[in-house]
Amino acid sequence: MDLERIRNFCIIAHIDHGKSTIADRLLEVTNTVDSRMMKNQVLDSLELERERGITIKLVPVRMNYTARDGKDYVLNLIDTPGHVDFGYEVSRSLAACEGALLVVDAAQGVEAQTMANAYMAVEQNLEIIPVINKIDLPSARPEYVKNEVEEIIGLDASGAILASAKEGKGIEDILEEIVHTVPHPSGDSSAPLQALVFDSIYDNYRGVVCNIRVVNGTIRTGQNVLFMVTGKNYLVEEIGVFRPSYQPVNELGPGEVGYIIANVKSLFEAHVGDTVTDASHPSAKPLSGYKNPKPVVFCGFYPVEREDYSQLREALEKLQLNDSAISFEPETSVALGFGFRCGFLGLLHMEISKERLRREFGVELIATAPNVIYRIDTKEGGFVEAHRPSDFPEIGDIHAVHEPIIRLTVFVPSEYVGKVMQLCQEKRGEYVSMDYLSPERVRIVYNLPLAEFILDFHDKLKSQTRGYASLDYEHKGFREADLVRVDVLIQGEAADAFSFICHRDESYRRGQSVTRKLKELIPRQLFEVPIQASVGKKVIVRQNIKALRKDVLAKCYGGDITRKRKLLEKQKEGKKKMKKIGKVSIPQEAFLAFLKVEDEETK
Amino acid sequence: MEKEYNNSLSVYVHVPFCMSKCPYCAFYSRVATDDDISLYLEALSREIEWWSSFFPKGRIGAKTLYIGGGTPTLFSAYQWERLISILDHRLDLSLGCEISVEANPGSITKEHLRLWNDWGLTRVSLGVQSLHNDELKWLGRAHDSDTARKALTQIKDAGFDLSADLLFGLSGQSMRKWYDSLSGVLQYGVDHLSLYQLMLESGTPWGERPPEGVFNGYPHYRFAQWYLSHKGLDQYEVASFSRQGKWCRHNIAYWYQKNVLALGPSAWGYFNGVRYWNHKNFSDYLIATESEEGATAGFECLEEEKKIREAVILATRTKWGVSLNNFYNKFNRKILDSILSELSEIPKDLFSKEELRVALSAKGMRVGNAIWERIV
Ligand SMILES: Nc1nc2c(ncn2[C@@H]2O[C@H](COP(=O)(O)OP(=O)(O)O)[C@@H](O)[C@H]2O)c(=O)[nH]1
Ligand code: SF4
Repeated sequence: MDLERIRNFCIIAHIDHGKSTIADRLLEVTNTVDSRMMKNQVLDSLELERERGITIKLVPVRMNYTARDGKDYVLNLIDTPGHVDFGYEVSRSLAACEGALLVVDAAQGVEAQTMANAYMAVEQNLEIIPVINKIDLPSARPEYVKNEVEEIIGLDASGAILASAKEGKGIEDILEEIVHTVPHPSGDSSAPLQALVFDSIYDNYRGVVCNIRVVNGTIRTGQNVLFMVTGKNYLVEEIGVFRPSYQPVNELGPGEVGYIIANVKSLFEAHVGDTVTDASHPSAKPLSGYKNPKPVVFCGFYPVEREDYSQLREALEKLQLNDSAISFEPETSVALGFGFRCGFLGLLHMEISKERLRREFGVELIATAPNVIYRIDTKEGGFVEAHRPSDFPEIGDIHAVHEPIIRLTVFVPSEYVGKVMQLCQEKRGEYVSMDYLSPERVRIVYNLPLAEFILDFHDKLKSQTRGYASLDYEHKGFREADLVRVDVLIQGEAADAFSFICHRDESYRRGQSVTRKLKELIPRQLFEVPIQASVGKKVIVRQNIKALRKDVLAKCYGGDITRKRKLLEKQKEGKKKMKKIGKVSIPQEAFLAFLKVEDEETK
Repeated sequence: MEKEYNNSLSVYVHVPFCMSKCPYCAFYSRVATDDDISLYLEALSREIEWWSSFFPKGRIGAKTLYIGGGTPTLFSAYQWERLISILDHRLDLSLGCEISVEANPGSITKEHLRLWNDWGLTRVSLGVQSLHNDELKWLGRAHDSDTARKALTQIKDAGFDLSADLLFGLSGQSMRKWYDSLSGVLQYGVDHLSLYQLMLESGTPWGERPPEGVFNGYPHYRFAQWYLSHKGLDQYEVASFSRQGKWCRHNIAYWYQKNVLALGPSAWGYFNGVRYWNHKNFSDYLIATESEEGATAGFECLEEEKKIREAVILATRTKWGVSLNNFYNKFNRKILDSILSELSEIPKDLFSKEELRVALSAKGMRVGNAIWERIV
């Protein structure tokens, strides 16, 4: 195919600014999908994504467009995930493009993710076309927003397209602009094959499907290819393009975008960012930019019913086929029994995974409070990576603890500056900068421990700024911090499910709130139950659950005996479901509520 | 204590009628017409005839008889004469037999007392509930405090053993008022008290829509334990207090899984390890007594382990508890041992310190449910 007739582009935007709606319109106008058949927003196909209005999985779509110059073009729209958890995937998708539409809501203006995405596009050398969307809104201020794009992001917005995806305005202008300003791909069709895997999915009927962008050379059905990261060979069974459903073709040349199916068994063999090359004439070097995304947030998943352990394992294995970024390994908890410690790219990724396990695999599970990885230097000169509180060495053996830090950017109306800064301070944030983007809008940047961020930062920010703030973050490595593990002892027995890591200054307050909560949740027993929080051997908080005082159904006649016995049996059944720590029965709710303890304590 | 009841039979008669239905009551009873009562008496007579055929010479020997309800005092003197003659026709009430009746202050009359005296009845259990008019009104009871006091006096004067029922956990029931009711009934010479916590049971109006002000009666119960023992009434069962020897032997029969022949709609009996229940619905009961199967609607026979567990639970309702000698003689040793070892995990102060006996202390009785729940 003539390289000059190909345009590869993506759409980047802050959430809700209209990315999906514009994509729909583009598909409609180019007759790629029949508008009657079009379910709203074709690209967001996962049920879950629809509900949350976010894109997780990408489908590249090929459109044919006859431009005003009378020539036919092939436009490949490569969708990008819309959340910071998937930053690496976004970067690979961008790497498959030459241009990007930067969609900005005409009423909202530039937001945190507008910035983050635009920067990534700049970094990838993409031609950026600003699109001011939703100009039909009465509150639209296109000139003002253009100005923001120039002043905040530093892009020339004089030629920005004014659009209304809702009313179909400006859509042709966008297509024309893509044809004219996005550079066509370049590449050598006779060079050794180099194709970038920018996404891979697991299709229940077809197995692993890799979405690729050919950079050099040509890929054909029947060809023997090599995946350079894994070093494995496969026979290409099918090549095709998305329109947006699978449409097989014979070959894909430089600059072209499509999919390959090559009997790849699992997503572990199809890494995003890998380079596909010809097995007999391999390219000397892989394409640059490959990273193995590392999980940053961890939590335990446990089946609600102990018997469902193997069901959970199967479900996780299947989920992993669809999403290789999830990692898991078995773990046990005194309180929750057998389960798995799972790693995720971020908080949202964790929630989505949990939800998918529930919906797609019918697994009911308990998720423990999420935590991050800590890097610990021991006094003996060793090094430990702790994925959970119990991985922490004894306090006396610890030389230093390092925790992951993020650089957090918050966009917020100026009236909320004080609140946002206070929140960041409370969360042990370290002030970096603050800029007035306009008299009403401020950008605040903090370095913040990831652990504090994943607790409840989002919710708090939302409530304190009435939803007016937007945020973005990037990982910034590790920083030393005075962190301790707080253990919870119930009647002298360590209850691992309740131990947690926190800053030493916070240990008393958090210990208080955890023990207080447990005191509320654990029913009185026949004996007094002390609940303690300790750091190392030192008890820092102590509470007592008083012994049960009265529990007797006074009245009982002959006929009642059976009824009362059944009542007792029912109660006993209920207690059986409780987990026992030592002699103390602890209801499931205590474990569940503990996961929320952090939200409530500071209110 | 339990030895005395070996091979004895107790008889329970359920009178399923009340003047009106109390909002908290889960017993089976209905508001009756004279017609209903005569239908009931005829059915009862058929039921007892049916049972008598299983007994040698058609005579049913009984050590205790309890006529409860419902409200047996709703029966007129004439109806009572009929009831007595039905019972006498088949029951052999041995010498020293305990014959109890439940009486309601609002409906008990001199006639009743005279008839009972003639018949040889020994105990009257009066549903006083409270000696405070506001509490009685709140409970929806038909009688007031004066009526209750009068009834107490009359029964005592007629020479019966006198028991009173009192309720606690009532809206607005201060300790002072509870003390008044307790000490009040003692003044009339009651020698037995049944103390019940007001319970909101499902299937009753209050169970569905709870009234305000009901509370967990820990202080009331605890005070009663202290006060009554101080006054010479011993707590011999979770809900029962009596002077020495004045305990209700009929009730004790239940706690030691003795044979109880139960008559009347919704009555529950126990026979050689089988617990059975009669038809609950009035007309089902009437019809069933005409049939060859009798009034029984169903039965349950517990498997060995459950039965032993139930035996331990029931026995530990009483102050005599589990006599190790008797229980080891009677039951499977291994099962019993495992139950006892489960009990040994419970703090010691919940048990009375008696050799060869496992019984709850006063403190233990207060948390009985939590203990039984472990061994059920
Ligand atoms: N008024 C108006 N609403 C729009 C326009 N484009 C998108 N929307 C609405 O804005 C919301 C978010 O759009 P969506 O395309 O899902 O945004 P995304 O999160 O960037 O994919 C939806 O309710 C759309 O209907 C537009 O041009 N005008
Ligand atoms: S009088 Fe007694 S049996 Fe009758 S309804 Fe009231 S509480 Fe129940």
